[in-house]
Amino acid sequence: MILQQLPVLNELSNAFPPRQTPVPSPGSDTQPLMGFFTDTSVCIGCKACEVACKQWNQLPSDGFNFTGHSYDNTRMLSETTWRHVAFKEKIGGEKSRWLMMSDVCKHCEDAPCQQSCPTGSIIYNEFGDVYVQPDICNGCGYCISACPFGVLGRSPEDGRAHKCTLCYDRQTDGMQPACAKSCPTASIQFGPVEELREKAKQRVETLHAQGNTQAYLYGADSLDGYGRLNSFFLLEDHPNEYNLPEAPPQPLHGQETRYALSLLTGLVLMLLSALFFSKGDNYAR
Amino acid sequence: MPGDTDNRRQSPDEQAGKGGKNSADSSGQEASYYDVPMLKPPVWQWEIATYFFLGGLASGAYILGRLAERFGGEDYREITRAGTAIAAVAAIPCSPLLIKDLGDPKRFHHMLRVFKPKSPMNLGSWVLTACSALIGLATVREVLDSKQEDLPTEAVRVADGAINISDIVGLPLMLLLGSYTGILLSATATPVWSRNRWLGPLFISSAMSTGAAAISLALEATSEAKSPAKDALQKVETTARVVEGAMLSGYLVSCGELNEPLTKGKFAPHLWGGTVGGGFMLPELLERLPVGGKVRRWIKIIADMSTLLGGLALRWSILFAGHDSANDPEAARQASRPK
Ligand code: SF4
Repeated sequence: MILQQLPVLNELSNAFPPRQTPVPSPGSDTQPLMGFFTDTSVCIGCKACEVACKQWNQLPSDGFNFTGHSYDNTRMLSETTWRHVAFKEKIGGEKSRWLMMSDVCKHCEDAPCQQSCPTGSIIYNEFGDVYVQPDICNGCGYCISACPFGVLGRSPEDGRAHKCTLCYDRQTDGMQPACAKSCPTASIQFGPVEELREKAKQRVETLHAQGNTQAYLYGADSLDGYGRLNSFFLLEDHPNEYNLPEAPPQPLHGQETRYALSLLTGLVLMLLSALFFSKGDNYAR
Repeated sequence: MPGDTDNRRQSPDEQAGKGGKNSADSSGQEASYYDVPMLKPPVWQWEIATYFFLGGLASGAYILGRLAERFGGEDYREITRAGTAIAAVAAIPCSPLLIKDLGDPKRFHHMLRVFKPKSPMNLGSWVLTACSALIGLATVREVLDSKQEDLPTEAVRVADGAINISDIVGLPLMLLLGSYTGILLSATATPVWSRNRWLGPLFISSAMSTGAAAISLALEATSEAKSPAKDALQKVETTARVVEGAMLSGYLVSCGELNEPLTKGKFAPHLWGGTVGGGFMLPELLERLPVGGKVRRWIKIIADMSTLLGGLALRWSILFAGHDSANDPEAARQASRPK
């Protein structure tokens, strides 16, 4: 009707999209939280996940760049790269080796991007995954700075923030995310997070028993107060080797103190100013 | 069965007997990933730095105007008049600047589709909206006041009453307008801003010092005569400046090495020359010069302008230092070490 004919009105009405289907609350009995377990000990760096992600999500290419960094020419996650395979060549030490890891949005349980989003575009969907609603995002860029993993980017094409959706569309149709589907070594595993955590702990035990004592889980449990990651990792070296933060800050925490201190400073200045203004009367007379 | 922490904390440092908390790898090198940035730099550019300054200016000028009327009486009415006018002029470009900065500007109104105070940007959007309305109200009231003779007394009285009532919520809201911008920056992962408690207090004290300077500039520009209002403003300016200086020092010290993009980077001249030199030192020096008459007035005008530029340089240097800070993987690694 008239709404469709006037683009401005259309945009305005977009701010309040109608809810078509009732959304089950995440983590309910009927719908467990879904996430990734990325086991880097079996990653062979084939980049099938990167390609599958780009294909399914129709993400544009990042161009042909040669970084000179091992076999990694993608460098980092971005608005157009939602899976990134990191290659770290470790030369020297006891034995030289490669570290390979398929990086992705961590789908934080206590996500700074979701909390900082001023439009409410970033939500937890019914699978408990952090999702940027593309019809709401207005490209303010706050999530980009709030994410302690540098996951999000703003697209110059549409001006909005983009990141891994954990294949929301595929999940709604009962399919697993494209990256997990394409991973030939089961380095990327998809499933209910609780189950994945159990599996991952067993995997660490197995690796330890086999003599790979370096293996540990990153994000399966709280990272020094950061909260758990619904997309967590098994790593074999220091997190910084994979460009992951060791104990990421949760920047939205402790805001109350910061507001209180600011208001206090303001109040003190207001009081002093009021004093200067009320003293002046004597001067005038 | 090993507990959760066992699995996670058997990190390679511990394996190599390096004592856990340092980040050297098993071969003794600093753990890093080819110096690729760990974080994304902010998308915010000059529009945001300018908005931070103007929003602060509007907040400071409005607050001082209201305080002058409430506590000062007739002698100080000129502060209220100038403060309101400055707040109005400063507030007008704010929303357009913010909208221009958006990736998708035609969706600016999505900012107000939810009320989500947890997000400083959402809270700030509401605060800016409310403060714009308040500043509008105050402006209307000043206009009515100046035309008092030709208007029914009821209209003037209603406007006076409205403005008085609005102070109860208005002043705290204005304090938020002047400080939430600093809190917004502190609620990011950018190392030089992240979780810093000094940024909000720093921004509100700068709001007060620039607000006072702008009012003083307006008074000085319109009249030569000395007045109690000018004297009081001078004290306000100096006080705000001292507090601002203390907050800036606190901020820089609390950042530790992470302050390098600010104190030594591209924007260091803005900070040292603009804010510290131009915003604090020069005006205090000029105001102490033993001169009188016409020269005194010009010196005051220069001092006030310098204070304003200092406030702008402060927002500018802090915002753009954030870009460099986020792009520096070493800073990101440092900021995310376990405490
Ligand atoms: S990793 Fe970043 S983008 Fe992903 S949920 Fe956490 S904060 Fe958001």
